[in-house]
Amino acid sequence: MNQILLAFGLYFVAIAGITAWTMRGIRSTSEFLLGGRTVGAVGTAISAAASARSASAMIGQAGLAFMMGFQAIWIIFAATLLEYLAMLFLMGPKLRRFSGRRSAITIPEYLEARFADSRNLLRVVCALAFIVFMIAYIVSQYVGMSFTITQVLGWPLVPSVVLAAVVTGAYTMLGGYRAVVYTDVMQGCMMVLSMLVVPVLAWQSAGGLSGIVSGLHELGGADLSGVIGSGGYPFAIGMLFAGLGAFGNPHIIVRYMGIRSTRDFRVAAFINLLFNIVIGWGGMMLGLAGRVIYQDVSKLPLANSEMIFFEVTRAMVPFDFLVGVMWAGVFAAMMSSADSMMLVVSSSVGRDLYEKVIRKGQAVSDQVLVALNRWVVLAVVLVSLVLTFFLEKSALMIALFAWGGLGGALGPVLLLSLWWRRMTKWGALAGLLGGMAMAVTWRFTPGLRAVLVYEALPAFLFSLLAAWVVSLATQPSADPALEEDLRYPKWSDAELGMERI
Amino acid sequence: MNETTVWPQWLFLFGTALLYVAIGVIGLWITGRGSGAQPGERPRTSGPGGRGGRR
Repeated sequence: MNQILLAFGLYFVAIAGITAWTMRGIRSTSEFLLGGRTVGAVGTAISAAASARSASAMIGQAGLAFMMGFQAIWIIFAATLLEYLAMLFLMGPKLRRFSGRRSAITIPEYLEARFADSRNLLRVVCALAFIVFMIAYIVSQYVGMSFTITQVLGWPLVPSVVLAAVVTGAYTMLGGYRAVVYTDVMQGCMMVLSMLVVPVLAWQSAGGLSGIVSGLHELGGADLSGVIGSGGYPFAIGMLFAGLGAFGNPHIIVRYMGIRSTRDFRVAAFINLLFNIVIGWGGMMLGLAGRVIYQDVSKLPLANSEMIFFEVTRAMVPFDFLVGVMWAGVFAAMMSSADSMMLVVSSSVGRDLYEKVIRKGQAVSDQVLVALNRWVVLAVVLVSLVLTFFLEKSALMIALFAWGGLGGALGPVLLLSLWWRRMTKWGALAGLLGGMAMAVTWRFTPGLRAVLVYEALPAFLFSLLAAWVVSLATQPSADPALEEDLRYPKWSDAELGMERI
Repeated sequence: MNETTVWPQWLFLFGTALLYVAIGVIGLWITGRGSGAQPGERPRTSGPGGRGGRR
């Protein structure tokens, strides 16, 4: 256990080092919230992927494969491809170009600039939604941490969760975007290491592919070993559409705005793709092999399939120190998601609501604004910690809803705003509100959920429809520079964007 | 178990991963074509700008 503690200790020391390196020279909100758009391809790629893949995605995929067999792959099949396409083609380059040319540093600010919304309607609606959903998301990460701390490590709950939350909050508060991105890179590398080593050990132990297929067939027949298993086509199709959330989750998309140059998307998208393949497919291999080795979920601690990662690590990884490194990888997954969400809330409160709405038209010094953003991060940590101990179960539900509901509502609005010049402010507002309303309706109507389990697809389709119909019924604002600012950049463009942040 | 019955699962699990890697490589190749060197400029062979990128 001492060596496990040593691994966690070194992890926290490395975070402190990165924070000390990145906290110098933050003089403006653009530098605090977007790193002054200086982060390159590798940082953007790994940070976006590590933020998107929380611990529930990392160990949850293995747990799902343990329970459902080969058919669990449908959930990562579409999400991996959609995230790649979003970064390389559908969203990244256009969003970076437009936001750079219009000096927009948050997503609500992008929408306001895109639709010349002088009344700040879009900014306020979007910022409020981000605050609610992102805090719920952070709470879900803390709930995951508390589970790992108490059930796996056997450490005392309150001091351990408070320590992890304070460390995450501290480096986000001090170093802002750059600290979040570069700690994400380290955390992402730990996640990749964990999901390369542990699945390979389990795979070999279970006898490779032929041993696993025959083992699964003996345990559950075609339900486990078949590509269309017990859930049938409705499950496969439903899980495919869960990937739509990738288009509308601000803690991922804001990375596209912070990249140094649009040309960096070329390499960034490729690295992002490789990262997601290792995490997703590693989880599949681990879950399938784990099922053959342990055979039944009752043989795992707490009869919880997500414990397969911890159980295989404990049983097969040599040296306690390496076990500690692998387990710290799960912590890294939680912290790399929580830090990005904290920064989204900070930008929504500090930049979108205070600087641009409450103090609209008034001069506020950069020093005050950076300090405000930092205090907001601290407040988010405190609020989330309190909620963690009171709202455990509902927070997980809201977090799941945030991925599909917020993703389903915001995704179509962002996509249409980037590719359809005829779209109007009212269309965007209708898409946002309509998508969220549909997501809520779907979640709380049992009859609808019996048709399709997850609200991502209905929210996405309704948001798309509402945005399209209302845009056609209203007049777009005149913006002579829109065509040039919104065009897809050529890969040969020198789109450094540094001149207009 | 007969080896042939493993092929669908191999394709489903590793085939999809390899397909995505191939899509990524094709994406790099297609976007790399657009970042050719300017006339009279020495092509870059590495770095975020890709081959021939102009910083």
